[in-house]
Amino acid sequence: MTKLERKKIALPISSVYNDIETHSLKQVFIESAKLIRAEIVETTPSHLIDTLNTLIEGIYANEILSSIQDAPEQLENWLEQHTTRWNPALGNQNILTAEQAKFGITYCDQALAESGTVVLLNENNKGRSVSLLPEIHIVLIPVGTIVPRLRESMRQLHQRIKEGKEVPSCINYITGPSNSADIESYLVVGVHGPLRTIYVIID
Amino acid sequence: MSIKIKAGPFKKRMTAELKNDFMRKAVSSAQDGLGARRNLATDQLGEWEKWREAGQEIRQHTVNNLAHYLEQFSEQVTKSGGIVYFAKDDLEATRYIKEVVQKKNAKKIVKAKSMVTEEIGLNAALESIGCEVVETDLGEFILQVDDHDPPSHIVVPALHKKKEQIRDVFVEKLGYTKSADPDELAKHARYTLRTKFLEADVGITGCNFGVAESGTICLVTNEGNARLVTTIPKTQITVMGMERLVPTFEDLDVMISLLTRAAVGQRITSYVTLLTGPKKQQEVDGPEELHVVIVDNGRSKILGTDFQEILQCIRCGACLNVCPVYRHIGGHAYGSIYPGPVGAVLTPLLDGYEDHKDLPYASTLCGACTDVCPVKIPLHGLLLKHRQAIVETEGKAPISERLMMKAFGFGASTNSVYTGGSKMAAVSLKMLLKNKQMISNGPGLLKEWTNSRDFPTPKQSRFRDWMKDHEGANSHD
Repeated sequence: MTKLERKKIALPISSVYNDIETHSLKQVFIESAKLIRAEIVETTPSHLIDTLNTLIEGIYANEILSSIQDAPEQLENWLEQHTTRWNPALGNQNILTAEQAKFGITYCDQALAESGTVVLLNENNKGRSVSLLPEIHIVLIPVGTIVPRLRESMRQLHQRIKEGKEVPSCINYITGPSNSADIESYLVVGVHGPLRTIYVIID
Repeated sequence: MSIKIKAGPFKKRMTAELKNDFMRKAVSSAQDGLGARRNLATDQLGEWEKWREAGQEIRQHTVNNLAHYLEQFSEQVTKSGGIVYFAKDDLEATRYIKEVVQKKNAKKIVKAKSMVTEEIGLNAALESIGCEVVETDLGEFILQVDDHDPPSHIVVPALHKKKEQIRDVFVEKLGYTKSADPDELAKHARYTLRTKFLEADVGITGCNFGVAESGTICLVTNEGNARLVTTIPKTQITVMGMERLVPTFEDLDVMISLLTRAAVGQRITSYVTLLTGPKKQQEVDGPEELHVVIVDNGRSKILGTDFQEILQCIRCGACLNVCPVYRHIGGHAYGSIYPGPVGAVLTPLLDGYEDHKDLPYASTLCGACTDVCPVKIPLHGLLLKHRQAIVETEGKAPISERLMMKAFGFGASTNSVYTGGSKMAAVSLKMLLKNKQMISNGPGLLKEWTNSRDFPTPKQSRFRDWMKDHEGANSHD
């Protein structure tokens, strides 16, 4: 296809770039996440296992579905012991497990400070259902994945296309628990997706 | 349901809606709430005017080069494994979708919110071949359960419903036993619909934006139902209006930033989902088959006309949320699934003037819609163009306006008639005076005005006479 000539326009700037001059990306992310009713847990790599144990206390592995690839050894062992792993070999059974699960645990690829959003690139068999069907979604957010806003994330996708690469079949930008204001403008938190979303920030 | 939702003359529909006190209160408080949140969100973003200009540029550029981007988009969808179908009109679109559903031998269909599927009357078409079609957006679900009550807002479809009404409908139709508390109602819908999602053969969605460079479908939602619709069923059908494209992901950033703020005052919605092709072979969830139905249904006729800018619309509903007319008459009075200023512009273009010639007059021309539009569509200017077209080319001006213009034409045609008439106005209107100042109960056309407010009387002396008296005195000042 021929390429279309296009007038270059100056892209408008978000005030988030001012905020990150005085606050860290993590601080801005946390402030935004509070606004959208995400529950925030801060931890460190060495305390991560303790944090996860506290979060899932009393719940058995068959009610905890996780989909995390290439996890560090310690986390990998914990997942193997305490959770049901998303297993492509089991096909549709994964979806049924997700539907029955109390917790779904995922690992974010990116996080957006401006809106308190986590980005999940659902490629390589990560599973769309893990962040959707369980009652509570726990998402692990390494502090290094936080970028200022949607623009950085979209730019990366644009770059992939320019380089002739594929984009994942599904990308989810998730911002807090599901909600609706369809009945008398009253905000109901937790409609079709998870009723609660827990952000575990690893710094 | 097609684009039309209510029959009968506009005035009658409007008069009926004006008496609906709950609806009017609900609309005004929703307008105030959404308006305050929108203002807060746009202030926080900063440089809102520059964002609007960028949005306008992106949408204008896309619409100006629509054929190019449609070709690119459909190439990319195909490349990623999806199947594209171009539908000239509602019949072609519904026929194709019925064929896909029948080929799959599918009976159970779940749907995410989509205005264009309402426009083409998709639910009725699928029900006619024996399918169960379930709306899964909470607002749409409520309306569907309530015997297909039409939507009254493009973003908040059940805005006109009281929670007690919803409870009663749930009790009657769904065996619901709990209170009118929105949390409990929503929970009941969640459990009812979970089963539907798990059993569904086909999922149908709309499309907020199609990204031309990658063939990606972008869905912007809060409830998560669109994710379920595109995660569980084995076949996905996405229906999009042919103008809903952006060239690149960088453009998509601008459009999403504008849409969620303008629509609901959110920095971003709970879910923004980007879908490119069906699931990959080794993936477990997501559709095995993806159909993208691109619907024209009158849109291409708008290209190149005075009304082209309406195709920039991203369906945020901000113009509804500021419109003083929508505030009073609500969505149903417009008689179209697209109400408010955008509906008053778009409906006659898609469905003809015949049934909708009153809509361009359902506006005070205050311009609030134009000021708030995130992609800078000159909405009230387009309403004026409609009025012009109705009078000049269609010859369909309201009867009252035609008579008035005829009378004015006669009165102003000769000097003697005009002089006599203007002298008589003062005398005749004086007879209607209640308190020497204002007329409270006028006859004929004047009644339309005096029904809701008093009409001032003409001055005792005419300007022409006053001018004559003062001409000599002031001419050498």
